[in-house]
Amino acid sequence: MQSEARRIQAALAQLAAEGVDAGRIADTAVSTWREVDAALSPIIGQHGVAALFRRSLYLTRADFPALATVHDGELQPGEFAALRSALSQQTSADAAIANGALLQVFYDLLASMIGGSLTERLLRSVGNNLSSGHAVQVTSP
Amino acid sequence: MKTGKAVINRLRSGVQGLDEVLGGGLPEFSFNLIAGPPGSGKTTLGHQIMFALATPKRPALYFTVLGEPPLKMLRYQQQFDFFDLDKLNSSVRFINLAEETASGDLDKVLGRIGAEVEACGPGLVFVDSFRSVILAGESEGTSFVSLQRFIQQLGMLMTSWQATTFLIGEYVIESDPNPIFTVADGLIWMRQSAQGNSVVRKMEIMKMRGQATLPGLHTFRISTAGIDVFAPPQLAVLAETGPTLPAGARLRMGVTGLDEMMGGGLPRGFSLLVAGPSGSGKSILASAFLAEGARSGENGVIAAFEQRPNRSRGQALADLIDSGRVGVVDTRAPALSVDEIAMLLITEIRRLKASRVVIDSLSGFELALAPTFRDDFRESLSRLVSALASTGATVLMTSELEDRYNDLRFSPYGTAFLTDAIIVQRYIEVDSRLQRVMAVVKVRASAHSNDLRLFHIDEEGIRIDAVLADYEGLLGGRPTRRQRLSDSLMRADDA
Repeated sequence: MQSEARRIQAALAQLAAEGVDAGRIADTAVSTWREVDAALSPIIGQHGVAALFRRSLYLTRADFPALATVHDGELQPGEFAALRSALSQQTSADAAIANGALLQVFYDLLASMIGGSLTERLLRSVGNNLSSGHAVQVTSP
Repeated sequence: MKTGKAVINRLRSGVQGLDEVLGGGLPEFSFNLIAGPPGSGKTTLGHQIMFALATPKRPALYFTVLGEPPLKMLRYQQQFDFFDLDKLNSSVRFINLAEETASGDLDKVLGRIGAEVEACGPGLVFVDSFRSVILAGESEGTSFVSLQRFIQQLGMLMTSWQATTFLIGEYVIESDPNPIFTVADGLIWMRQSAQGNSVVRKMEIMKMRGQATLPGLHTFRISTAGIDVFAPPQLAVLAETGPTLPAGARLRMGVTGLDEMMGGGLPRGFSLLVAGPSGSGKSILASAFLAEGARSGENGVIAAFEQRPNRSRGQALADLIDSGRVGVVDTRAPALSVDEIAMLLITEIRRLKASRVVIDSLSGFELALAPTFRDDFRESLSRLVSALASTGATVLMTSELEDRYNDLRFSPYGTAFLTDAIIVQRYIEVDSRLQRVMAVVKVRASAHSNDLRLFHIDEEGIRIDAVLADYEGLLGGRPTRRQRLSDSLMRADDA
């Protein structure tokens, strides 16, 4: 099901626990979102992904005011700069939690439309290099 | 140098009945159009064909172009049994062309399709829908590529790429001589025809180069399994089903005395019409026919249109159905076509290797049909009867016959000439009682009795009684006692 989202959430929380700064958390989050965009937009179109992303922001903004500013700002398809800037202004733990919630909502939303198995299949490759690649990167100065 | 004709491989479409209608399957590398109004099942047909044919060696690309949002398409199409998640991204890839189409530049759309085709090397390409491509081009008021050029270039690209291609598009005006039609190798037209409150889905192969398609409108149904096309019943190779009985063998009817009336039973492979008014015992005769078959190890199939399943159907027949000796064809679907019933019957005959078939009754059958098919009832019925006969099965059909005593008829459809044998049942009034009589009217190429026999129905079924002697005018419904010769002579003397 949406264990994929949880895996990514856990990897980000791990980074935060290791004391990585919020900027790094935001970079990692955005690169994950780019992977999501790359996996989905050939199939449902960039605008389709953008619409899902915006709806996810809408659903999470009440719990995470930082995300409200991203929602209210101008969103370009395939562009996640606003999210990066919002996350980097949080503590790294909060940034990890907020992005984790956003990702979870996005996955759930997609799964509610096309089913869990198809969602899992389409997004299988997303975040695969998170635990290894990025973690190694951040430990080096 | 190699000589000889080009070999056209025909691909099995994975849609039941479609290959028959197409004349042997989808020609490989053909360029096809699936057209029809919204909701006629075009995308479903495209998906079903794609999932049936796509393999890792012959991958499929499905381009979605505006029209229906791809998320919606995936949401609904995955409900069908044929939607195989395991094929996704290995054998089947969906590609969205919304960005290119939105630009209104058809060259861009073509360019992207070309690039994706080169990157993926598909054996199957679907573009859904071409109408959106065209509309996008028009709305911009551009003249980058005319519709015809777009289609032609796409056709050329796909043929030289050796990809079997399907353009899917809503298209409502059938009479519009669209240039696409000249480019396409195949044209599958889908529609929904409404008459009264009944809607029937129909498909027509307007064109399929290089092969003989079955002309005409073919009904189809969409269920969770996908699309089922009901091709007109084909004449099966004789006697491919059923236990091998010697030619000229006769089947026992299961009613004592009736076999003798028919000159020794019903010749195998014959079709028999049992006509009579309501309640005269036609269904009971039909059950006896099936039960007699079961007794001698023959299976049967029944399509019952009159009675509700498992209600008021005789216990004997219900037992036969439970034991699996008699298969039941489901006749409850709305808006049936004769071809659909024929397909269901023939499938069931093959499954059970059945040699006895009952249709009870033709009157109920006609009522169950969608109104649009009632006009052709006789023609379709004739096709059905010959298709059933060609399976080698022996067919018994019942027909409601209104008792009209001034008009001797055996069936309301002129079906009498379709059948090889006819039994007629009637009510008559004798001594203020309603009695039943039965007669064998016809057994083709066979001697048979011409007696009008009284019969009654008891716990055991139909019991044939004596000839009603000394009466005449039985078919008039009110027989009179025949005057004896001596009586009339005496009267003549008096005068």
